[in-house]
Amino acid sequence: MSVATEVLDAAVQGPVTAAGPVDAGGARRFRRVVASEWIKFRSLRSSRLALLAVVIGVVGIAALAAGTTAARWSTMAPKDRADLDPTGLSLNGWFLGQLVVGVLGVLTVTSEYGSRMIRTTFAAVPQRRLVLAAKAVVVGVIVLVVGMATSLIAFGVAQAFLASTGHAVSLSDPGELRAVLGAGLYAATIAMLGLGVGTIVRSTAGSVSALFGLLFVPPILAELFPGGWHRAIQRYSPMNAGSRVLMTQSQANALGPWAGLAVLMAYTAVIGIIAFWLVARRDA
Amino acid sequence: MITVQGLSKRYGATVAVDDLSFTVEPGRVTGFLGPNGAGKTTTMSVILGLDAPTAGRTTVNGRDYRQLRAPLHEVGALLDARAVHGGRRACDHLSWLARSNDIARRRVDEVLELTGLGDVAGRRIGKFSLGMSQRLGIAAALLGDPDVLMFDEPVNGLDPEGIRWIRTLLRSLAAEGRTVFVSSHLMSEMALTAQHLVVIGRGRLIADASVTDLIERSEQRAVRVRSPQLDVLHRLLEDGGRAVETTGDGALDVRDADAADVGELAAAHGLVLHELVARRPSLEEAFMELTDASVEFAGAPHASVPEEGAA
Repeated sequence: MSVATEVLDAAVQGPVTAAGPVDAGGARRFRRVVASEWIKFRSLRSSRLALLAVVIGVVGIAALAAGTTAARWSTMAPKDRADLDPTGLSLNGWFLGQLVVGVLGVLTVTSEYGSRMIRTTFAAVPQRRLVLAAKAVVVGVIVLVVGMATSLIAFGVAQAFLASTGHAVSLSDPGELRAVLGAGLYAATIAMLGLGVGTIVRSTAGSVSALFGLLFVPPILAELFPGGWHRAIQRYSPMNAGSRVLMTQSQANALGPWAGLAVLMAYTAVIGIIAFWLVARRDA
Repeated sequence: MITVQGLSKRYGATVAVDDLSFTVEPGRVTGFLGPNGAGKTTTMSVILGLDAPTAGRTTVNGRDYRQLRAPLHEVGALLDARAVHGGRRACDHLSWLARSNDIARRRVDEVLELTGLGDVAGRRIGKFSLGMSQRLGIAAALLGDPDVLMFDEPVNGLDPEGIRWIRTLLRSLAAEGRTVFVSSHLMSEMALTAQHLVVIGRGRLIADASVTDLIERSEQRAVRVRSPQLDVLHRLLEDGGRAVETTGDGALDVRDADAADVGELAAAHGLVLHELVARRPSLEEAFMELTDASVEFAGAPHASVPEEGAA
């Protein structure tokens, strides 16, 4: 979190009046809107609590899962031992953590629509796409940095617990660093997806339902379809595809890590384009 | 200066604003009056680029608001004092606003002091009373030291001392040569604050005049007269085509007349007068008269405008 904080703080404290604020160029105008959104983000206790919940949740689940496995190791069946997924044990907490960062992305915009503060925001910055882009940068960077840091800690804690089993992995093993940093990328993408959905739907409850629906309904829906359809939906649904980047074990009927993340990013981009289109057109 | 030209705004089948045109000049307080639901907030939303007009256009200092790059330096607005995030401290709320328009941080402290919120700068807005929220909204409007100021119902929720404070503030802002545009559904409040009035009802322009002109023009201009020969005078006035009403306490109200007309008529017929008063209607009455036909949510044939508080 500290890197992001420093970067964004530097933006906030940057020079205020070199040229006049009115004739400022595009880059400088974007920078000041980012700085403004960063002040909004960090001045709410709820944002800090959400990030804290992510760190505690993801690291806690990793510790719990790895700790239990290590404790049960001597009595585990050989098959279960063979199935051990040390990376998965470290990062499984993200299946809960993604909900928190998704809601955080949603709230970045719906809390403003809910209180109607969005009108103050858009009166201060009538270039609404600039506002949405700035929100994406702020929530994206924060979740990316916090997500990567959280994953690193979770990985370290889990592997420390697994050391006694002799099956601990290290970041230098193939795919491990990609999975750990990929978890941050995945979390940041989910947060942006939440921001996009929130901008389109505008109400918090509706947006959270839509986001969770987008993540959890396709895999359930897939069960209703026969063979080929079933596999396609499983493979390309946003969560299944995107979460490949934080896995190291191969899976039948699944995309590769980067291809999977690219699919999730493509969904996010589509939602984002709709959000950008709508935000400037609608009455605030 | 604010201009509104041929502005119409429809929401589905509802016409909120209907071909509205007026100009708000600098150097005076212009009141924007109308019953609740008349289209005041909609008009202000369009001026601020928040709602897109169905037809017509609005400009601030000659330009479309949405083209302004750092609008807080030109226009300050208070629309809805409660439209803030309650979890944020007052100083943080002003800080993000200031930063978005390259306004120096020290200006935040200045406007907090100016609006009497210096002591509560570090408190969360959710704990604020409505009056404090109004002050915070006004602080936000003043942040960029703008030439144009717009306030939507700024006295709502303020105590008498707060109302006096804002009245003085609005007048002094106008005296500095700024454009000050203030909406209200309270004619009595505007009578004390505004020099010029734009009156609308059901989204249409009803009057655009100075406060004194508006009273002059009102149909309710009347003369009250008392005489021991009241019956004679009554008949003479009616024969002369005047609308006359008997008041409860034995006097006559002559509508649309000058005191001079009535006095000379009485003298010509040798009638004694005990009282002859030009009855200036209050601004409230003038307003009621103007908007009577245009009250959106009339409950009774003669709808009344709420005295206060209804927002």
